[in-house]
Amino acid sequence: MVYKVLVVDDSLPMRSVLKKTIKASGFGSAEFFEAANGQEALLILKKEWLDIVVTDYNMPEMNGLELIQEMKKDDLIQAIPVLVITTESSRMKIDEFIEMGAAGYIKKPFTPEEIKAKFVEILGESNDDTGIEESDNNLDF
Amino acid sequence: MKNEIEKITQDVGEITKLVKNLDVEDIPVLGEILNILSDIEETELNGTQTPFKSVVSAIKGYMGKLILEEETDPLPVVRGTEVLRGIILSASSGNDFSFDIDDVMQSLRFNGDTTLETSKHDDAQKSGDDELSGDVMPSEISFDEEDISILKDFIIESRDNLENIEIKLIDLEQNPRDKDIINEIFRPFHTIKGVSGFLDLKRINILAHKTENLLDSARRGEIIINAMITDVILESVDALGKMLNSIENAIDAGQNSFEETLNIKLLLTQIDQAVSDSDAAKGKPLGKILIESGNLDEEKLQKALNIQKTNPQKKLGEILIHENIVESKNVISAIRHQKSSQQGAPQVKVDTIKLDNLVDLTGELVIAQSMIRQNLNKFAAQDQKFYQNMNQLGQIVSGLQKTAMSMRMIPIGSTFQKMVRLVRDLSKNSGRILDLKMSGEETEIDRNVVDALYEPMVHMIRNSVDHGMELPEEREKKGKKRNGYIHLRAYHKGGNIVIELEDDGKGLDKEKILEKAISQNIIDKNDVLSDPEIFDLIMQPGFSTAEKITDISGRGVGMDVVKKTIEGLRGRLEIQSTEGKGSTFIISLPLTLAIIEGMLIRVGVEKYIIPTLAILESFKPNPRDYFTVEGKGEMIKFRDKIVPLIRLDRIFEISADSQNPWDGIVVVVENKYEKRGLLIDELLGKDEFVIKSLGESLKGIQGLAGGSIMGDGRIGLILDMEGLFKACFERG
Repeated sequence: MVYKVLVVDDSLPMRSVLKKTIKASGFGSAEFFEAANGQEALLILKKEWLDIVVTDYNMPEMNGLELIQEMKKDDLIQAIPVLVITTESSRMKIDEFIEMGAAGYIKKPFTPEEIKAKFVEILGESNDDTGIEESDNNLDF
Repeated sequence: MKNEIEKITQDVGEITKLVKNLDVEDIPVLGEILNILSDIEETELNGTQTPFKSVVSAIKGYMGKLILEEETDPLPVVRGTEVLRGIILSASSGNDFSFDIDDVMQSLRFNGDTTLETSKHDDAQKSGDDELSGDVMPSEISFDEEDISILKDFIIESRDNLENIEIKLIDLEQNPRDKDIINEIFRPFHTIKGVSGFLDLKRINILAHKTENLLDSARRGEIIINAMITDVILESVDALGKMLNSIENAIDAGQNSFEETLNIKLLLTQIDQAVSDSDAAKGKPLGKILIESGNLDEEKLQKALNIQKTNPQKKLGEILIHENIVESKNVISAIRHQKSSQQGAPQVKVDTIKLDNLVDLTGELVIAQSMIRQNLNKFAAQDQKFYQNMNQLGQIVSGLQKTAMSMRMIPIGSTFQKMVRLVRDLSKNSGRILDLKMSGEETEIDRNVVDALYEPMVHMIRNSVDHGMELPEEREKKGKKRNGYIHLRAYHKGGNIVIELEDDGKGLDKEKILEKAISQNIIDKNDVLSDPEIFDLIMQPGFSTAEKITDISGRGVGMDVVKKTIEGLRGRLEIQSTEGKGSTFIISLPLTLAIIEGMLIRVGVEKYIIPTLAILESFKPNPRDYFTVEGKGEMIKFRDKIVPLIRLDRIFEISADSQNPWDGIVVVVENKYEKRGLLIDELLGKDEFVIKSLGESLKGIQGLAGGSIMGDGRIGLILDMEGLFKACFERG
């Protein structure tokens, strides 16, 4: 499965390590997009048909939580799952993330195995043909 | 010798007992141990003396640190005591001393030692948290191609962020509770922690993590940033910088592995220390601290306070211990807590309404006093004593007035300080590089004025940056420095405070302003305007020359609001600008809103006050200088210029003595660069007047700003130039 991931973090090296770890997880083959904050992420979300957003919480301009809030306001992108990267300092916010509609959270630093498990949880098995797309598109005629 | 050993054995036994359940907060017990140790030290002991005495003095030294709270871990004392017992036992049983005391000595000495030597005994054992201990054995970290590229970015980014922290920390010391600044400082550590976690850079990770936690506590208000915390954060910045350098060196040398060698343990302990020392308790009463810590309840506190009433010389802490209400160690710890958090002169919070009331009443007192003074001459001749008493009263009253006024005065620095952030944010968002210079931050101004000044200053700085400041490339082309320069200045001048905002941007474009004003029908294209009049146009409602609307400014609201606010504060806004060189916005404000400096004048039997700020000149006109102009009414010639004449008697419907202008006096006043001559009967003198608002019945009258009670108890009305000009215009 080829899937499009948007990595949102204000730090360039952080985005790089996130990409590296996701690649190393062996979950499908990912095409990456990057944004330095929520604002940038929204611009990309409106242009690209993305499969998942992996976002940091604490960012300037627009943080992860605000990004989810904004996404929920837009019919076209509200269904895209968001995985929030948390730390000790944002652990208090976890309930808020979930309440706001985050698909899940993962504490950094994480291993390739951990991120793979999260992706499977959110997107379904990568090599499974009955992946998320099909099960979600069961149209009743 | 035997006796001595027996005594020492006894002493060491005593210490062992005391040490067993040692609470480092319990000062009396710590003191007792110290005393016994001193006794032992003085006892002559042969043979085993050297190592024994070294351990004793090491324990003593460590105890001192515990008492001073430089150390918090009692464990080394326990170990030291065990060693002492061992030595004594072997000595009394006649065995050779065969202990290795190096270990214990090191633990007793280590934490206070400033050398960065590694030791096996550190806080990690206490907290049991290996992950967070600095005692990570130097470990080899190897990277692949991709890692190296990530690391390079990481080093560059981290370095950039760390460089900015220092400036932000200075900001933070000014506003220790500003969450935005804390967050900005927090973020680089957060990022460094995140990336280093993935790259397995353990020490960087731990240090960034600890510092991040420290800042997180500050962000949540659990601790308050003080000088000590700032120092620790700066040290952490330095250490991270060093570690980044060594990674860079390794990469540059073409190595694909790296060993972390910098010892950061001492720093980590300092961070912990900084957190534990900076509890947010601020000079609270002892009773309250004890209640909060759960060592005391209201009822018992009341009981102790009652005892204190009958024995006022006794301190509360003493009573609490004496009556066995609270354990001594808890009292001591609460006192320590209280002491460490008190700073500067004690302060009281007072409702500003009360403060305003006080100022008002003081004003009344001044007036009442001057009323008495007016009658003074009658009595003074008869009663010398009364005269002296009145003079003394006068001094007290004026001292009281000054104090009351000063209570409302605060330095303008806090408002300036807020501009630092604004300018920084603006430079970041607008692509300009800006240097902000400030002077006169200590200049004091009425706090009501300070609050009202914030918004106008923000507007002005934004305008200045967005309209006035060129981009760095543009500046270079013009032969200016890349960095734009903004200077905020405050100073006192006469009875006013002057605030200047100077920039070295491109200045106001007169042509463009005129063009725009004509297109918006603000002026007629045949109008001839002086420079100040042109600059004044940008303060017209709806006026904006910005070519595009940006985040920063250009929505056409702003300068008119700024002007209105400043005029509302009875101030004046003036613009000076040289095209290509920059602009200066000058705000003059009265020092306080409660008092106005004015000229008392008389028209007929009425007295009026003209604010000094508005007065340009007064003169007795010559009949030659007076004439009427068709459609514009009466005019008077003043310094080769012709200004409209306003007859106050006609505006306020009273009767004046002088009907011919040359019989009276003309006071030339100015408002927004417009000049008028006011015809009056007499100038009575300059003074300061306490402003009173007018009652409902007079509120609607155009041309009056307020009233003031005169020395003779009568009311003088304060003229409002803008309203007066308007009233006059409406009457034709």
